Amino acid sequence: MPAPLDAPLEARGVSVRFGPRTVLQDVDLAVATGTFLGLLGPNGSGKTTLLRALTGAVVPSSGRVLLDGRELPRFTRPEIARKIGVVPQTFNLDFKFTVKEVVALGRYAHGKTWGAPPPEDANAVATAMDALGIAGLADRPVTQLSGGERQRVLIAQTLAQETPLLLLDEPLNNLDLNHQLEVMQLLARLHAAGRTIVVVLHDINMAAQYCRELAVLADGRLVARGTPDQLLTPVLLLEVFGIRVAVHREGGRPYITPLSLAPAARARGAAGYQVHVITGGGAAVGLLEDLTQKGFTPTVGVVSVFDSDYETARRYGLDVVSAPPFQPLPAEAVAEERVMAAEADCLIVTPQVFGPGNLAGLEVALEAALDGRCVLVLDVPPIGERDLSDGRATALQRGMLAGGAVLMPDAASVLTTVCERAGRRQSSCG
Amino acid sequence: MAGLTAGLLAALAVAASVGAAGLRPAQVFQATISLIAPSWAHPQTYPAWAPRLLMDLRFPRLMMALIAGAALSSAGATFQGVFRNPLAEPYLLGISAGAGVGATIAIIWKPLAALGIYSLPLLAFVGALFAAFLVYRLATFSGQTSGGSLLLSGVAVGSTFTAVMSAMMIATEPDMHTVFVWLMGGLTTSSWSKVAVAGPVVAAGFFYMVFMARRMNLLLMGEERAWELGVDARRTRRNLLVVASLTTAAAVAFSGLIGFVGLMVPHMIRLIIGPDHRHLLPATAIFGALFLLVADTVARTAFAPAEIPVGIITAFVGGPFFLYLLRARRGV
Repeated sequence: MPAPLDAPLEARGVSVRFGPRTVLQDVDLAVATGTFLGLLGPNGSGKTTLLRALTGAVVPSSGRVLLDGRELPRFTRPEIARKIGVVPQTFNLDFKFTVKEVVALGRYAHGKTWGAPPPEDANAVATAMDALGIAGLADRPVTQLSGGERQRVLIAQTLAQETPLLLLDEPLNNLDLNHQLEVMQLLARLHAAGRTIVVVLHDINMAAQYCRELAVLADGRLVARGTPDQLLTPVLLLEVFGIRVAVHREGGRPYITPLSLAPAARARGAAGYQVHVITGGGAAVGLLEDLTQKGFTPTVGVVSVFDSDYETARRYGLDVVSAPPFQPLPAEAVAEERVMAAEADCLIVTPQVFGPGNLAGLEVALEAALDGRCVLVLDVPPIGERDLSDGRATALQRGMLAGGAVLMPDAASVLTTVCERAGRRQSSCG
Repeated sequence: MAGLTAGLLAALAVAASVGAAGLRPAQVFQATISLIAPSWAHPQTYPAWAPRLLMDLRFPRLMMALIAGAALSSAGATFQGVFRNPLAEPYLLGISAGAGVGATIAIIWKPLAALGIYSLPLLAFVGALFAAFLVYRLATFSGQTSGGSLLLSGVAVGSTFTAVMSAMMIATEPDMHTVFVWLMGGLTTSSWSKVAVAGPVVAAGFFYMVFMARRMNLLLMGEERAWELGVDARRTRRNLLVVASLTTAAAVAFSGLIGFVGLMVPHMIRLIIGPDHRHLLPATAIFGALFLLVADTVARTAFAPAEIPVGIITAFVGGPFFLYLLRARRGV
């Protein structure tokens, strides 16, 4: 490739406002040479705008974008196009160009207005089409291609541009899974060959698997940046995307399984008061039914998948953290429970039997109690009869009560107390 | 392209030969020779007035047909490319209505006759550019000009100007016929001096459009994509609109409102040779010139000695032929 590969790009304090709406707020993003960065964030978080600001297509309302240490407006358009290649989300072309002609348009910034195209043009076009597996479509009109084929033509066009920097906006749109993998592997190869890559992705797992670094945007701000391993935590994904996920860390790169939408999104609207029930062994069956009938949407954790509590929760469509049966609670499940507990207005600890394997729920409740939050402890039968953990459960419960948790004599008073605390926010309690 | 050029030359020969004066092709040939190289001609073979007739009437008219045809069709191709809209045509930015108002003023306001033969073309030209400028300004918001608002303000300014023109026509009934004939388009009053004015403007405009052909190809993917690939898209687009409007106005000023050429010729050529402007623009210009030459020849000979406005011929022939192409090629 003729162009030098060194082309660092940097956004400094970039804000973009469209009329009264602030789309990007004070974003600092340095893209050093050799970066392979995945940009994540919900729809409307400003990913595309950030990408467009980095290319100069959007002029920041404040802040600067530096390419090779110089401000973008000081470059001519062809100069920028020889350094930064962009793959937009879609393209429109209603004119019957062939695939090859469209890919060759990518060579514009290298070309002259007059005269025959230089031989390296044909090479670049052929290489780009091969890389995307569309050489066989070379003479087909683009107007007759499928969505996935058009997407690959667009990527090939940008590759033909032969730029050291590649910015891609959801390049996997419209692609089948095999082509998605091909594109991600292609990006990995290009990165290995020295290209600097910034790619906006919807698929968090795809990003985690291929990108060296991830950055997360939310509401126009850059909220986090780091390796996939550092970044993909249940708490971050809940905060940014409003989804509860399980994060699996087999091998070097994390993999997430979306579990459910955050109750914050679902239940707060309906009930307004969020209750989390720490249970197991069927201790909460009646309580879950009562709470649901009163209009609450409690969250439940951590219960084994063979547990009747689990069945009840599933039956009422409640968000539940589950764990495999007959073994200590996995750390992931506890982390999820901690997220649920953090969101809840009130925690309820049910009278389950505690052994060394399920004390984590009590620890979560203890933390909450020590934070001065609402924790209700249903202690029938009393903890002494249920403690198979050499007194550790008893100690935890004692700590809880000392921290401000309230002891409940029976299930009915739990319900009454929750209704009282929910107060005006829970109208169906009466 | 070679075929087109050959066709153009053949059509020129035929067009020069036919006409109200009833010269035979051989006589035209000899008379033409006498104009180029008098010593080689055989003066006894043609009437003495023939060289004069050809030189003063027929040749400038042929030239004007070529110029107007090339101007309208290449400007049409440019408008379609820049707007990425198959319905775009040279009169899109209100040029027709603006020129119409200018021409109507020139016809009904007698003191302007002092300007001689240039009064009408001058006012039509000024009117056309004024309308285009107005449309462009009205469609520009904080430095940005979107295709959609251009189309809409073009329609709005166009109908306003047309209303003004109609009002003026009704108010001065005796001139209505003259205005109406001008509106239909015609090359009757062509002269070398008019060719000398229109020719350079159209040629310069045409070469600019060809020079920008590669950039126009990129613009077909949208302003943003062209920008990403290295084209200063906004400026390119604006310059092309200015140049295409100027080229159109130069043709309209001398030939009136000849319809359909600018809309259909680019489509016909695109259907045949594809959308690449580097080939499309030259081929469109040549075919547009050829098409208008033939149409004008028909206009002045079909009902000789009476003439019909050439715009009627272009519409009458162009419409069905275009539909035929559209059906045969299954869409644009």
